[in-house]
Amino acid sequence: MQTLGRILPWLIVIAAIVPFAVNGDFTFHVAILIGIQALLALSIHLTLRVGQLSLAQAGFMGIGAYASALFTRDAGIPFLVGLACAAAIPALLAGLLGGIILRVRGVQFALLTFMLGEAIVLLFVEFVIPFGGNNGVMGIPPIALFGIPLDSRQQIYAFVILVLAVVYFASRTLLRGNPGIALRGIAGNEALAQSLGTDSLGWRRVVFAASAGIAGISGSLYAHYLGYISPEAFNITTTINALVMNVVGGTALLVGPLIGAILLVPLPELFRSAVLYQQLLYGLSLLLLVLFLPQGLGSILRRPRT
Amino acid sequence: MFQQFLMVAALSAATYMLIALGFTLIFGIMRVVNFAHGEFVLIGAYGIYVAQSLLGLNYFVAVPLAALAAAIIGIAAERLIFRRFAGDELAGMIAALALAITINGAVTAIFGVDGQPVERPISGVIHIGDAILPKDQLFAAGIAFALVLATWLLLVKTRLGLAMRAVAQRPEIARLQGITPWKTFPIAFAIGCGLAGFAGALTAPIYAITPYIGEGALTRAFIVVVLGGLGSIPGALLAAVLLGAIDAGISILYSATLATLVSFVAVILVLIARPNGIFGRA
Repeated sequence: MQTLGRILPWLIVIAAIVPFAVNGDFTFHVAILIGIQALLALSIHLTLRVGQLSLAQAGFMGIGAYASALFTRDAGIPFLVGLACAAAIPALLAGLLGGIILRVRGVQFALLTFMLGEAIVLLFVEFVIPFGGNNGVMGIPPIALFGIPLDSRQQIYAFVILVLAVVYFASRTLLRGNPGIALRGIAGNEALAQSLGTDSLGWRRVVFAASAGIAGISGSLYAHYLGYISPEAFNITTTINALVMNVVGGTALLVGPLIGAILLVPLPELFRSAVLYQQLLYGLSLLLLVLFLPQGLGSILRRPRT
Repeated sequence: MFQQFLMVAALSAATYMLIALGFTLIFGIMRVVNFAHGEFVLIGAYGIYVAQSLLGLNYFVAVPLAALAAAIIGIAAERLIFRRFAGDELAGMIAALALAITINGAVTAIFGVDGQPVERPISGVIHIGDAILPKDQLFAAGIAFALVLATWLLLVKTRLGLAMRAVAQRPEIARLQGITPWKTFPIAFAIGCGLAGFAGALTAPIYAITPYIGEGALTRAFIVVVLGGLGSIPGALLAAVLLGAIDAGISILYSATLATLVSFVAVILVLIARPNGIFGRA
């Protein structure tokens, strides 16, 4: 078990290199989408770690996407600054809102964030200026580093993987360091942790803000890669898909969402011909997984740390 | 204008009640947030299409059959899936999501993604004062109110209803009184999913049916049930009236999108101030 646990991260690294071996535009296209979705799945994973499932993550992704798209296109701001804004704005919003909404626990929190996510999408639809209503935003400038646009999918993929790696290790540090210790204490016995001086709400707020920031980064990459965004890309279905990636990969492991993204994102791209049956098969396999392997596929390889 | 508002509000409140009542009943008894609830509305709507257009049945025969189909699938879902997750809210929610994707996928695989035409069995309008009311909507709302009343009577007047309410309030103490909680689970699912099926069957001729109608129904159920307090039946009924009024008022004066946005914000504010809903127990 332990050796498999050590192998798992290396499997992910190998998976990240595979597209360069296979090559081809389509491979890189799918690989870029995997990277972007993995970021969103990772952001949901953080909220699961706090024990408060947030269904507003696609909404935060949308805020990041619109912020960086509009700033770079209309204000002429460089991409990297736009990316920073895409992380900072949702993180700030979540940090502010978190002080109030994180007091709500359990299913009520999931439902509250469900409404919040849908409300964010409706704001994009309702305010045609500046969000473009249902038509969305077009002509978003491509990803560019220090003024030099990344003109091949290969380069874009390398950049997405770099961002994903940075976010992954930042999340790992967050969960393993002091905040992680505090969070495990809170999860184990909240009253005891609080009596020892742990600021439960404060730590949960930090993680919630971080999760929204990661979702925003994912949105920015999505917007600049595709060059076009519309509100329905950020509705509840996107959040649910990212949640499913966590369930498939395993919710107890930080690599869980990455495994889930690698397995699930290529499916619709590969099975275009069976498009009518795709959702049914997807739903059935998910049901079987939930019933017979509730810890996710990652649990086959590694038992969660206790 | 005001009369029109009252009528539109009452008509939409009727279907909201029908959907939310079952949703809150299932949560109250099993602590399962039925994310698949909207898909049972979808089963009801496609049930009408199958019975009416493919089997050539009369609409008034087709409605109870479609609801029955939804109820039977609901019982099967409870037996095969939800029973294992009773009490585990997060896992139950994810299982319900998986079921929702499966039902939606099955409907798409069988009937395709395009909408299906449904014959309108009732047509024409009635004038009451200066309000204009389509007869088909009036019929749907009338049946919906009657079903809500029947469910209410079942829960309040019968021994079965008493047992179900006891399980919803305190499962352990209900057991002490000789009630077996898990025996009420399939009944709750049959009633809840059956009511959702009725909602789909009754509204199928009014709106176009597509595989996407479940999502809107689910969102409405969420709003009503959260406003009223998860698991609270009187709360759900009052909240349905409230949402009907907000929806009708803002839709008539401004736009439907704004109406939805306002109801979302209202729900978020209510949840922050009173996490158990306006009428929920603390």
